[in-house]
Amino acid sequence: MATYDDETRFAAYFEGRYRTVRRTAYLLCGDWHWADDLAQTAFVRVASSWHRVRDPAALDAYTRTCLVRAYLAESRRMWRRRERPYADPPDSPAAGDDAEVVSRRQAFAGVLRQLPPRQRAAVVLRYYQGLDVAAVAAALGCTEGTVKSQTARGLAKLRRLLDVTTPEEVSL
Amino acid sequence: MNRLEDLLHDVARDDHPLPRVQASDLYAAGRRRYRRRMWVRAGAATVVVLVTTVGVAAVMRPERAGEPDRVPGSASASASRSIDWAPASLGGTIVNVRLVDDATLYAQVSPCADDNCPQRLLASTDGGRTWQERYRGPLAEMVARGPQTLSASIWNPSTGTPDESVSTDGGKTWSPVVHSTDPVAEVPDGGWLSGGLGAGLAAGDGTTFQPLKNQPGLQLRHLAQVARTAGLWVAGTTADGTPAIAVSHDRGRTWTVRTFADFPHRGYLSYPRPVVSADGRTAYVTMQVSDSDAPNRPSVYRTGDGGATWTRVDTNGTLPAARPTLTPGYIAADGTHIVSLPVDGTVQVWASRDNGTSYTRYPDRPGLPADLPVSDGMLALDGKGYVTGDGQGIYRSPDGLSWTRIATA
Repeated sequence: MATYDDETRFAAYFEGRYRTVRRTAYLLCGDWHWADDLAQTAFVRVASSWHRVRDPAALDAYTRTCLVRAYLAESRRMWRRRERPYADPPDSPAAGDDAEVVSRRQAFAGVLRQLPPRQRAAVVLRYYQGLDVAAVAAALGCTEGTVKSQTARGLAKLRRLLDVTTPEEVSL
Repeated sequence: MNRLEDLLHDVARDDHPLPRVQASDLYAAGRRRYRRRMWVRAGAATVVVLVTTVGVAAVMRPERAGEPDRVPGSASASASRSIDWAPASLGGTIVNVRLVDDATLYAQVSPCADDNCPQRLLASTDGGRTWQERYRGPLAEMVARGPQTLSASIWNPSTGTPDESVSTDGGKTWSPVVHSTDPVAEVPDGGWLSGGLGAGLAAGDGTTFQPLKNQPGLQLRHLAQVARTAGLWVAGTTADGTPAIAVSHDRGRTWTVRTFADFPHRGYLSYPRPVVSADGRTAYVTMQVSDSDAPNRPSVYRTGDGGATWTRVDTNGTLPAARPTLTPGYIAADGTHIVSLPVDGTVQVWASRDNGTSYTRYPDRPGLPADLPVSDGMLALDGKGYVTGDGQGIYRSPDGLSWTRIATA
């Protein structure tokens, strides 16, 4: 049975992790509105299993898995229906950014958006969250070999799309 | 800043306004989800018993020679069911359904909840009373082009990309589309337009597609699904990113292009997707802005002369903001424009009966579940009738206003 303490502990966890989960969601999907929905979906799933949480150390991994699975499921649904909910013109720049910074950020965001969902998830989890191959495999629900191949393909495509010809330009 | 890690952190900068999300709301939603899942699991155990019983009865029933593989979707089949959340009699959730004419329907059914198993393509030639399975496999964006002609994307596991494919035998067999480089002046009789994101338009009848000689000059984003009598409607953007619509009423020989330069956007959330009446005279376009002071606010444009002139409607902003985006909706036989919006996690249906001047909540749709979203593929190919579906079943309507469930999911 859920108790008041359960809800309080969930609220504390949410306050501490929401922004990080939301940023990861944005890197996965490329749209802040969709990212908000994905982050909320992930936390609702975490909340639905909250009373079963026995190992707080595993909570981040579980939240990450909920987020990635929600993103992949939604991507499959949208592929079927060919929906593209994100904006073509990228989100507006933050105050204080100069044009070059904004341009570079938007260019990289656009390139990232072109990766297939699983490659994108592998790259984000490996290089943004800094996870090892085993942790990424657990989040994606696949083998470590698949993670390695998805990551390699994602990096190769990033290089190609960024038109990087020498390793010094971008160390992917 | 050249390291991938730095680039990712830069892109993920938290410079977008945080939504008003309360941990207590999410926790409550999580608890509701937990209770729902427990209820479904309890129900599934009951269903296993029922299926076992029915399976024994089915084995004992003699099979009649020549009878098609009937999927029980008829009223008699559903009437014998004692629980309406049981596994599908059509074999799963309806993910796509298309009405060709009064007799012919096609439906895609996903047998498992997480969409990870191959979908089934079902066909009915008697208005939905009986159904046959025609194909099983990874099929996307199926569109009926005629009583026996379908187009779809079929996932090719060897290339990891979808193949644009056509069936001319009612979905039983599929062939990849062949693209030729010889231009063609118009879409052939019974044919349709093809074109990917950012590509030029090609015209064909299912076997070969050729580039259309006179292109509308847009960065293509969307080919509208319209009745066969409504002409050709294409959405996209101009070279500078302005949303635009191109319409042809002579099979693609000439185009009328309307750019929405007055669309009040800094960055827009959804490109224009027109919904068109059966006669091709009336159409609506909905788009959403992502201004920080009015996030997701929809803008609606209407034409009453086949796309020659467009007027911005709902200027008082009666349609609420939707998250993430509203559906383009459809136009009922009496001209009512009906859209659905996700608002606060629930689906709301809104309608305008005064040519888009104002929209009001439209909760009472006889015969339809209240939270069933509407979409732009509901109009029949011959323009006479409407169809939609969900996890519960398939619904038909003669006018887009009152509905009848013709098959149970």
